[in-house]
Amino acid sequence: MKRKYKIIFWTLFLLALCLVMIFWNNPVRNSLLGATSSLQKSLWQAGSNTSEFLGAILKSQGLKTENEDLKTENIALKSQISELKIAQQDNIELKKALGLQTDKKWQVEMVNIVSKDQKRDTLIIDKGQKQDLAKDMPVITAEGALVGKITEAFSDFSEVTLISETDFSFNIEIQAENNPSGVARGSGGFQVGFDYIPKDAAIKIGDLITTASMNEIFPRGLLVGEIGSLEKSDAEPYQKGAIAPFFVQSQLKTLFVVRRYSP
Amino acid sequence: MRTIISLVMIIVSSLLALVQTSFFSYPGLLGGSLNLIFLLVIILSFSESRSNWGLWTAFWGGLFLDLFSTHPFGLAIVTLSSTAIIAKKMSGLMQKSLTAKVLLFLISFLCYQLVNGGVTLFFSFIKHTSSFQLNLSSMLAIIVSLGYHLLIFIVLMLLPQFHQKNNHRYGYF
Repeated sequence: MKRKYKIIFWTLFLLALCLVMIFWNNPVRNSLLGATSSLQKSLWQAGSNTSEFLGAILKSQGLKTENEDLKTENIALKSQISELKIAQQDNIELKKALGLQTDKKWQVEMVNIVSKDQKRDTLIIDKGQKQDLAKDMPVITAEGALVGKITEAFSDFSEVTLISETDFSFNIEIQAENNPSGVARGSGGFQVGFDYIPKDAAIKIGDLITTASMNEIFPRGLLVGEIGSLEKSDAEPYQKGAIAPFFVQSQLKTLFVVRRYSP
Repeated sequence: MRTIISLVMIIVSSLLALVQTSFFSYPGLLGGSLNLIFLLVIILSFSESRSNWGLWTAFWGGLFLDLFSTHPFGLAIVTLSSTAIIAKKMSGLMQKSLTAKVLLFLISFLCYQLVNGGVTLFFSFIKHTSSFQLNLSSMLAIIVSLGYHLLIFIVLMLLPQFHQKNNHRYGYF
């Protein structure tokens, strides 16, 4: 008899739990995250610091070569910056002459990471609808690299899907001759691939990848990463490969949600 | 006493879920990750006690993991609970040597991954998404994760034996 009551109790409990999670999923998660977010944020920071420390130990052998490569790259970048500064000045003057707006107007909200799903490339951040955050808003790092977009906004928290999540795809542009366009697609585990780059496009490993103008969600020109590997086959009409996303290289502690932008 | 243990298990599993989704969710070496609740569930399921604490922890740990994570609700409850049931059934059939336990652990880990893959595939089918993907890097991440879990499991299994040996050596018994 006691066993029978036990079974009835647990069946009712599971049924009630299912109903609560179907109808009040967001309020329940929001309240629970509200109660634990400060502890989770500290744990995330601690995890991030530990991961950095262990990563530094593992990478220490290749540091000398990496340092030399970076020095060479730094000189090349300085030369590019000086060329770009001249081009920017020309651009401003031309825009002034044509009566166009000269600067991008972005409104960003600084957010902190609360937690990450172990199996998926999704994050929980500590701001939501109360701070005017909404679904589909782009999320970037402090360096301006694209991280992902908000896929669900609770009242105090939001869920961010990273560009590396499996079913995430968006249009990209490669900073090479003729700026060829293609599609980036996440494949999970912080990995992003690209496809549909015309076969005749002259692209190489290390070329910068930015968001393209055809995007409905992301503004044009957001840094995505660089070409990590390239596959070119005579049988395929397009080139494809892997992207080394910039957000993975930066410290995932503080992020920015782009609330409004005008191109 | 049972009620107190039940409450302690709920608190412990909630804390482990919290640590797992924040501290241990940071990208690890070669994509490997550590599932603390899985470890606790397996250790409790392999214990000689007749009470099913493994299933109890699997349910509550899974519930908290589902609440703290962004995956579909129910994924962790179903995966961990079924792993706990399988592990308990298997542990009753085999002898209690360390080799047998390691073998059981490997089978349980495989079951966990299979159930997890199956349930994820089911949710992907319902939600019309393609969040389930089995490629070389995800396989590598599973193998690395197995390495982490197995190492901790063996250490945890050897600790009581080491402690017992020391007690005998210094004449505590």
